[in-house]
Amino acid sequence: MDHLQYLETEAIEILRETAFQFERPVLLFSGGKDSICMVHLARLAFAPNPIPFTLLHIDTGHNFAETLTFRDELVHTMGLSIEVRSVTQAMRKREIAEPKAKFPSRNSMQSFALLDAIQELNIDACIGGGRRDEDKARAKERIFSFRDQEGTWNPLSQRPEPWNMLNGRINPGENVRVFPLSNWTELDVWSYIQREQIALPSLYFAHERLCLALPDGALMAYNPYVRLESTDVLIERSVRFRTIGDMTCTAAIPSMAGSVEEVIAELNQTQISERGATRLDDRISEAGMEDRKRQGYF
Amino acid sequence: MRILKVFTCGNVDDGKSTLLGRLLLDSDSISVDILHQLTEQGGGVPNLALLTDGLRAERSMGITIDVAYKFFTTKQTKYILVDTPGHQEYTRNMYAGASECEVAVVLIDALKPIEAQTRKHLEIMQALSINHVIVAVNKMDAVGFEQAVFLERQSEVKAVLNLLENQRLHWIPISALAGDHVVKRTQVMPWYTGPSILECLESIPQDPVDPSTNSLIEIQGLVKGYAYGKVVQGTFSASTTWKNSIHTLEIKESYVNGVPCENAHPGDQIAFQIPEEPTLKRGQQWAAEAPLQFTECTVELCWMGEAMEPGTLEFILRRGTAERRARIALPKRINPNDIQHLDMSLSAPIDVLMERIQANQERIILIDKTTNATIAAGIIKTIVI
Repeated sequence: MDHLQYLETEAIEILRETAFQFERPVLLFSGGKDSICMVHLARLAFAPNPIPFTLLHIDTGHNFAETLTFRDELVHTMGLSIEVRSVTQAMRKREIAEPKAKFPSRNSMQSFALLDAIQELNIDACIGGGRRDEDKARAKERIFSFRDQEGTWNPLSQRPEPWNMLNGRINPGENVRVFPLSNWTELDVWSYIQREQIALPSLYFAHERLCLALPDGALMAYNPYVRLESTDVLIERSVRFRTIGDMTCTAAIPSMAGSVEEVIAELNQTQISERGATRLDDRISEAGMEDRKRQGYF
Repeated sequence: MRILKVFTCGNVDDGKSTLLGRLLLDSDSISVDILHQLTEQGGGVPNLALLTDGLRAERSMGITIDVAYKFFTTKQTKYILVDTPGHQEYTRNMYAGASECEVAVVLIDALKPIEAQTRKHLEIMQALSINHVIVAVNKMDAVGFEQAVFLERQSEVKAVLNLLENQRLHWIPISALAGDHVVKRTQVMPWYTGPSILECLESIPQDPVDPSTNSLIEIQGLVKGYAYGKVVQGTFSASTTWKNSIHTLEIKESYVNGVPCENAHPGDQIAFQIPEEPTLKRGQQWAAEAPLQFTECTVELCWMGEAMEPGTLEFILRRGTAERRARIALPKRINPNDIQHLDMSLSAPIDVLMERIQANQERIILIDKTTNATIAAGIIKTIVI
């Protein structure tokens, strides 16, 4: 079996198991390429019936405008149902102040809004686009990843999944995070997007953008949330985004790749990992992802 | 590009992390930023163990506790590398990680005779009937690349290994540290003329021929007039008359991976319109020649939960998508990581093809009724009809 065929089949089986083992599963939708692929796979999994999952978007309030426009169009054209929950509100509820940093990232605070939504909507499974190739803590995670009543991940006592037999049985108040793209790499995702001709937000392709040049060479999209200093240098560059997250923690990369084919060619040449190239939040500490995941992060 | 799932195992300190790192490093699969980080942490040379030990606890203890998944590709293959723990305490994680793989790479230390834990790994490889087993004798550099040492380790392994008919064994002397015979072949052991580990992996043929004679599908669930299922073995064709032990089923309007299609192969995800009188349920199996049903069986289990004292125990059993209550008469205490043969009886019958029992292909997990934890995994060895 061809590798894309294998990965597609595996993801469809996981999505079906989620639908048949849980009462109120949601598909976590960020507007990024991985969650857009998941929507496509969910359509294939249940065709000719409609997708049986509600989408849940945890809105940081720092999204790119292009992401939100794309989200609304996708929901409209595919006739999907979506719930949007706001990180701004979750912060207000907990009286958490905006981070004082130059780049006030709300990335880690998404967990609050997510945990609130899980409780409010009585969600028993959250389907996420996390991939094992993204980070070494993710490389350790199961496909059905159990969360206790506090929403905590305990990486040292995970349920074994021999022969990919997924055990989704839980007690009230517990939930499971589901990762259908566990075995996909960034390049697999792009090859699949090419094969299936899946539409993506324009942010993923080269465009001219006003950027803030950081001392280490990283380019941040100029946006209203960054606290500019007099010494900062703003430059216009042809860039694209490898990941789309909160505007305050996602860096752009210099690129001329304007099509899916050109992006794939670019990825085949690149020497830098996806998160290393684009995520400021993962540069902070080696266990950054593990710590955030333990506290309920995606 | 095809997919090949490979797991690596070895006793603690046999050099497993070094081997994996070597495989990824020499096949140019580590990004510059990650390599930079590893080099900083290793004080000038990349600390390859940190590549797969992704958890804080693993790094602080310097051991692998749970399975890690890594990927790399060659021109023809996408490899899913399943790095499994060596410690006796975490054998269950090794069993689970190994269960889905076509190839095992077992690392053996050239410096010392094989130990109990390596025997355990070989026992699991047999229990899981892994098709290809590569035994890599590591640290050949530390024994002067002597063929005699290699042969000595080989005879020790052969003495405990009793491979099944479908299993193939490959022997490779390596030095993971120096990179000899991991990705590239080198000249340091002129007495060895075989392939490197990567060359050996590349030569393993894609998808072994499916020996099954009967076609089998399993039902995952039903939604609004459609059944969803998976092809377990053989070829799926919409024109087949499908049978279970009581009914027959004619299929209309079928989909394969979401696209209208009338033919499918093992693993494919199918959907089809449900006939007006629905006899379909999640967990059923339908075949071209009717499956049997059983409630009594013997199983070979790998115990993954806490120790249990002798007595009659009840669990939830999963076989594919079927769930039943299962009762086990435990004759003696069972400890975590034990592999044991046990008798089991089910609350209601399960569909099965005899040829799949004979080929060790009927796999199960056991789930605790209170905590819902997966506490055992295993293979059905015999059934009572």
